[in-house]
Amino acid sequence: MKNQIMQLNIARPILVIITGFLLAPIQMFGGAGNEKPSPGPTVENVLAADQELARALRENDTAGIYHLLDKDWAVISTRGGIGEGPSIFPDGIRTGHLTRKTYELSEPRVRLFGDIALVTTKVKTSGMFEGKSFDVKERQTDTWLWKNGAWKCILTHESNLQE
Amino acid sequence: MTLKVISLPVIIIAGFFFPLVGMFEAAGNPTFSTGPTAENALAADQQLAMALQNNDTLGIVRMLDKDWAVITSHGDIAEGLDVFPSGIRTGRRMLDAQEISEPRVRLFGNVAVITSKVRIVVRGIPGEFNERQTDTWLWKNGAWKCILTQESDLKDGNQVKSMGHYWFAMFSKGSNWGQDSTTTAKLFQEHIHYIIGQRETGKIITGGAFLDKVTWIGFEIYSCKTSEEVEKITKADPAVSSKIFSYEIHPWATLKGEVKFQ
Repeated sequence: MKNQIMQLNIARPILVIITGFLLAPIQMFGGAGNEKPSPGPTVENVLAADQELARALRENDTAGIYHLLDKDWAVISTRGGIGEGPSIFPDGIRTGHLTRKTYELSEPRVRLFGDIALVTTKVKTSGMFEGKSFDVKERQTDTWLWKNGAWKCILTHESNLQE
Repeated sequence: MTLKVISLPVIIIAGFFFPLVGMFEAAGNPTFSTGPTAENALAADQQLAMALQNNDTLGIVRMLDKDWAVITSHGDIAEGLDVFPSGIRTGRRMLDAQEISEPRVRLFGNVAVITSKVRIVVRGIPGEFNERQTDTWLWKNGAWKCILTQESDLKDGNQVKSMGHYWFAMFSKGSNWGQDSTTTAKLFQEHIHYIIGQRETGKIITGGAFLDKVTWIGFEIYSCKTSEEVEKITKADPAVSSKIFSYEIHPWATLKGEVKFQ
């Protein structure tokens, strides 16, 4: 009996250490996606979501992009075309049609209306599309929906920025 | 006594005024008893287009939220209710036409997002402008108010290039290949009939035979949603089920419209 207690006492720190190793990556991965910010929809966390989407686009992170877009997401391009579905950018990246080198946001204008937020930013992005290099400036509005405790982008509308 | 005499003219005068107020309400931003719907959001969007077309400054202001802003097709931001009305008053933005078409409407509780194609004719400027525009609407005190308008020039094509997902089924010699030439010839015919039938359903879009038959006998390109569906169709092919052919399936993506199949 005493032996069993001893074994349990030894086993407990080992168990804690193992659990610590197992939980740490979960925390790390949770932090990389659009994990649930606790206070509900705010200007700060929608801006953070917008910046996280920008990071995913800049790093050609297909899973990260897909994770932040709603299944009904659509993009209106600077040429007025409509593309629907969250796999548009990930597909382009995976097949080599689209590779971004830079993607920088500035001058954010954020408006929060309950569960909907509008984030308008200046975008400077460069890369390769269908074998041709591009380096453009745009004014873009991402419309975000607070859904199940996280932001999902439901529409991206891009306008060409002529400075 | 004096009060009683006065009260009648007051009622009569008020009776003339209140219908006028009601008319302005109806002409501007109407209230809806049903609450926010995709239909009344679209009606509000069309009413704003009409007010812009008619250069109706009051009508425009009534449809916009006080925090409204427009992102122009040149990427500029202009804020406030007076952006369009001031353009109309100074004659810089007098329109002869503003027509919307192909609306895409999404309703999220008390917010509606409407993307549409817009044709604009500006007075004194030859030709017309075509744009893709998104109006975001907020349901406020029983009526829709526009909170943001974003415009993009509409240039070639209406669709962003996106990927089409297909499947390649590659056929090679199966374990029964060449064992009995009569049976093989018959199964080849059945295989061709089967493929033609699948093409008629749209599940197989094209394919053909390799003439050298060194490694591969032929291939078919499938337009199916899942690999399971492709497997099911392929396994039911008489040449596969009789082991004349063996096969491999590979997912394949290409830009939509880049490859045209006949």
